[in-house]
Amino acid sequence: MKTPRLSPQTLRVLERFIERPTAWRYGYELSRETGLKSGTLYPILMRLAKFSLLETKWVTTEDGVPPRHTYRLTPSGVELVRATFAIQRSALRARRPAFSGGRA
Amino acid sequence: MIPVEFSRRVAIELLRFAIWIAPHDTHEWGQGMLSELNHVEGNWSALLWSLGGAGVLAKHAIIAAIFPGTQRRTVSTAIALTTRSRLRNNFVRSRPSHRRRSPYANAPADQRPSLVGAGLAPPISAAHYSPPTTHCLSRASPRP
Repeated sequence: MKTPRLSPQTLRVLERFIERPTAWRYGYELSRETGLKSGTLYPILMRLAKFSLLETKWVTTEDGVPPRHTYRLTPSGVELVRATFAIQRSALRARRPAFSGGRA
Repeated sequence: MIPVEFSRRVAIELLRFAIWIAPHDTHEWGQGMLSELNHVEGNWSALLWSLGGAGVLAKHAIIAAIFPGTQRRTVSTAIALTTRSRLRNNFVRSRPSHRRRSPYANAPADQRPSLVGAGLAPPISAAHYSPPTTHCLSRASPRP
């Protein structure tokens, strides 16, 4: 399976998604949580959707307010993100010096 | 004095214009950005949100205009491709073998092949035809 380039900003977005993998998230909500501007966030979302890692849905929230575009990771997206973070964690553990956290 | 609502109105119009110029496959994303604009707190924040979104859509519009069949390329790829093709064209044009004169160079303008093919001019006569030269160094007058 082809995967997109995982930049630090993309990882930040994926981190937010993986906190609640089944929840649908709004663009503005993601922007506030990650601190990314719309010009950075939307290309990331578009790229993730292109690689079928993200699914989109229109939801109606209130009467008179236009429907909102929401996003959620697909099962393959969740799998990829978990694998990526697992690799990162193991790499971090391997880099940690053996004597750190040792008892006197 | 600029009214408070002015910046939000500008933000909406800017994003609408960006959606209008954007390629079809990005319309849904543009509409998503526009719908989020209703929930952005603060008029100036809304304008910044709109500027960012419009920039993304404009980028896609430019790429679609340059590469009509490949709307998914990124700007960096587009720049790389343009530079590469420019370099190649300059190199090819600078080679002498590619600076050939047209075999119809001596023919009158109304007897050039494009007009002949369209049936607008009589076929070229043998008197006006000159065989293709190998490179551009051929001169109008022969060397002494």
